[in-house]
Amino acid sequence: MPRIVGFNSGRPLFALLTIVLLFAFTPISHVLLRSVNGSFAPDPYSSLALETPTGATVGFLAGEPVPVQLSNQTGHTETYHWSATQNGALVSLGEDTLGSGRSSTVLVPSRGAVVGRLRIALTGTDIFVTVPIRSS
Amino acid sequence: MSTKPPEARESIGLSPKPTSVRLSIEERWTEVAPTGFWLAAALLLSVGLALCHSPLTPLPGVVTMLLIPGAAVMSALRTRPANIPGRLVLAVCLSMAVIMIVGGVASLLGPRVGLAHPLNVLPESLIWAVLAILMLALCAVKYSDPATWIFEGLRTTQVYGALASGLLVVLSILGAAQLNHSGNNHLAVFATTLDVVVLLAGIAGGWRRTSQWPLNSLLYFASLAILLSTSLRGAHLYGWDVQHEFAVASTTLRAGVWVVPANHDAYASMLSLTVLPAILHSLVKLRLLAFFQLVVPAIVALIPLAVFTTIRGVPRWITSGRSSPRPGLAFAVVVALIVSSVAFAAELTSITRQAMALTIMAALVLVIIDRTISKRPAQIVVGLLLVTISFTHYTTSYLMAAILLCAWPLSLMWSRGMLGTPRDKMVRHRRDMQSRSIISGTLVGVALVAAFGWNLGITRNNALTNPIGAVTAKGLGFTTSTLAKSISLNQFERLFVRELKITDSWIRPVPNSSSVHLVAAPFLKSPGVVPSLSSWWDELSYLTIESLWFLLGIALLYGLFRLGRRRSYEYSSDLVGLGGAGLVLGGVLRFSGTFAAYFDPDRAAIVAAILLAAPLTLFLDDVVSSLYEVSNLHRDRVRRALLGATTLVVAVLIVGVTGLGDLFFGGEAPGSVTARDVQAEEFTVSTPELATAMWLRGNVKFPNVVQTDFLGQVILLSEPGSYGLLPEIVPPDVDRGAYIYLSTLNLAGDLTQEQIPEGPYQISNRSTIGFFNRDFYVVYSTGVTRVYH
Repeated sequence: MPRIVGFNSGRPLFALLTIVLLFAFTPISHVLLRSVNGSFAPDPYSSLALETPTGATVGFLAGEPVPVQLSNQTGHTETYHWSATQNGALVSLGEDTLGSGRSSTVLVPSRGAVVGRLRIALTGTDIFVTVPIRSS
Repeated sequence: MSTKPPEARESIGLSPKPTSVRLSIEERWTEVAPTGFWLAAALLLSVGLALCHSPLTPLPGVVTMLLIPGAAVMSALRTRPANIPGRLVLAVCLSMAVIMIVGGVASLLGPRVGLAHPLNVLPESLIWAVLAILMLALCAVKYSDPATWIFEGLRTTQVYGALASGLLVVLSILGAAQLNHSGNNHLAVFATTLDVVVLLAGIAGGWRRTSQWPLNSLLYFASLAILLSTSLRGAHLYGWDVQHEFAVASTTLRAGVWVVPANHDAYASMLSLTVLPAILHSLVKLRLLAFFQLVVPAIVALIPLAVFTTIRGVPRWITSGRSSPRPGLAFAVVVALIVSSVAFAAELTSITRQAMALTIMAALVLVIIDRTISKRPAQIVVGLLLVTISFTHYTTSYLMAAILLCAWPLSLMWSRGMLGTPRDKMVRHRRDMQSRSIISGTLVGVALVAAFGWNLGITRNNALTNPIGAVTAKGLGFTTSTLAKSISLNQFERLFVRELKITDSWIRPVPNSSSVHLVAAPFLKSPGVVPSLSSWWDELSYLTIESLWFLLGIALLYGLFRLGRRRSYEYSSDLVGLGGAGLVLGGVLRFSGTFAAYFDPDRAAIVAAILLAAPLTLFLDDVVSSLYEVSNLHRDRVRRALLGATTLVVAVLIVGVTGLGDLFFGGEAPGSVTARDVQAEEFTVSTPELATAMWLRGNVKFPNVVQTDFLGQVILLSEPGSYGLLPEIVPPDVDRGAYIYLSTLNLAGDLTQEQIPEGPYQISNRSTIGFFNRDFYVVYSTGVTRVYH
């Protein structure tokens, strides 16, 4: 049986095998992961947040724009359609296109809103924020 | 060891020292060429992989950093375990010691000499370049090459056996990837089943004393595969403590220096969680997440290997009348005691500080018992490992001090014939064989000084505060239950409100919140294929696990009173000391309700298992040999029966701990084999959950408070903010000014879990989302997570 003593015998084959495995790892791993429908990539998501969280306690004057931060972490460019509603009634709506990994601040108009709770949501998702509207 | 004649050196595995008195400089440098070549190859490979943007870029560096420094220490001390697996284990543990010591010293001295961030890339690169040159020079002077020192005698079959066993790891990783991405557990279950089959096959394959099965490779890679199936679950880290550990490591990484924590935080006092990942990140570009998800499991998988190496040979002092145990039997003991322990498969990857400390502890026991390591170098290495444990994990260092404190008098009593051993025979034997007892008063002193010096003297951390307070107040609590209790929701609510009025009297409840009552919800469980046998399976698993304690006790008594008294040369004082201490300490931690709140009994069990594995193997090997002798005429039938019984017992244990039993009979399967059960929901963190935690850290500042349910806090521990955290959202105890974090389990699973602070009561209820929608506003949302204010 050949022996690896002090890395002399058997060294070239072992070294070659190691180098091949190391450098071929990326393509091989991609193929294997695809074949089993597996992934370690981050889960894609989008988020909506109040620009200033304390806005939820202070409230916004009716007619005053509500700044919300929209973030795209889906891995691709996405066009978001958002709407502001109050008790189901539409107050305002709009759209914004964001590249992957980008965030932007959207000023949501609240003209026409009355005292109460304003819901700002991304259409077709369960992503939303709510803010109190005060009388102007 | 260096005084031995060349033939004697070769017989114990040392390469013959050259006979010439003076060696030329060239000859000396040629001797360390393999290590020099290794370092150059690692550097070139790293650069090449980095240029290809390969995710394996850190691999050559990590392997080098975890082997070569330790190998250099062993080479400088001219000592090493008898076989290659043992050498690898010891090299890794000593390398960790070297890295932590170097980083710790650099952090303490650096700022004093104007180096504000000594753990950053440039200072670390310089420090390690200088150390590498010094190491090579020292080894050249000693005429001993580190790489050759640990790999000498490596056979090509071992290398290819390891590569083939690596397929288990590949399958496990793919299974975790599939489970993470699609929730499909087919491959994960297949990979785990294969690990179990391979481990059971190893018992049969190694049953004969002459077996040539690659048991070391199978054991290491099957163990690693099981560990990775847990550690790779989710988009972030899996588990509880590891989130806080990540936060501590991440803080050190950002600071570029380790400082003694001003708040006495025990986690931040450990160099294993601060300096070690920071240096690996700076030197070899190892991401923090990869350190916890991949490197720590690779280190922890050395525990079974270390124990297997320890118990495969005949322990030191025992010299006559005994051949080494059957490899398959030793394999079965390791799989049953270590790999099948609840702590190993399900917990250690989530408690990395203890996982690393236990690996070092296993290496320490290996050095104590390995008969080929001379007494003095063994004691030096044990002392070094004891010091390393003190800054790796506080509890393990206290445990080691207690173990040695208990083991030393026991071994002394044994040596002096006070345990009924025939003293005159032992004295004669010791004189004939030269005393090889390793545990000494000096080592006990080192253990005590290291544990208390580092934790109470230098870092003054708070690790002992709560356990000591609890023991002072409640005693050891041997009669109290260690399990979470279930009570009715009404009782729970009343108890909870009363408790929090005392502990958190600042809470200003939302008006009318007391009218919102909790609605019970069952914990998520796997239905199983044959749920009718579920209770039978639970009982069988419980009895098998508990009977191991009984077996360990019997094994120790057998060693003490049969081997020791009748044939003193068949047992040793170190085995008596370690075994006795393991059984006493394991028993206290297993049955103390007070300690259970701070130190999981399952984790205590693995400590006891490491200490008692050798006595148990000696006992079982004698039992098997006796049965063979008694039934000489039916040898084959007895062999089959014994092998079958052993495999069956181990199968019950390993099937139970890997979660395959829960999937088959019904129960709460671990996250490694399912995406749906309560454990998977509890400990798997998604990217949106991590993003929410980061948003809270950035937007909610002191003195604001974040409230979440008992499990919601898991991810918040990973990205802690300056805000206060209250882990409960029972409506009457929600502060009207607080930020409320609802996790995916709360929203999509409509499930909330609550636990009385420091109490044994835990409930699961439907989420009270309506209450939050009515009385709070949503300030952050990802669709699967929400923050109310």
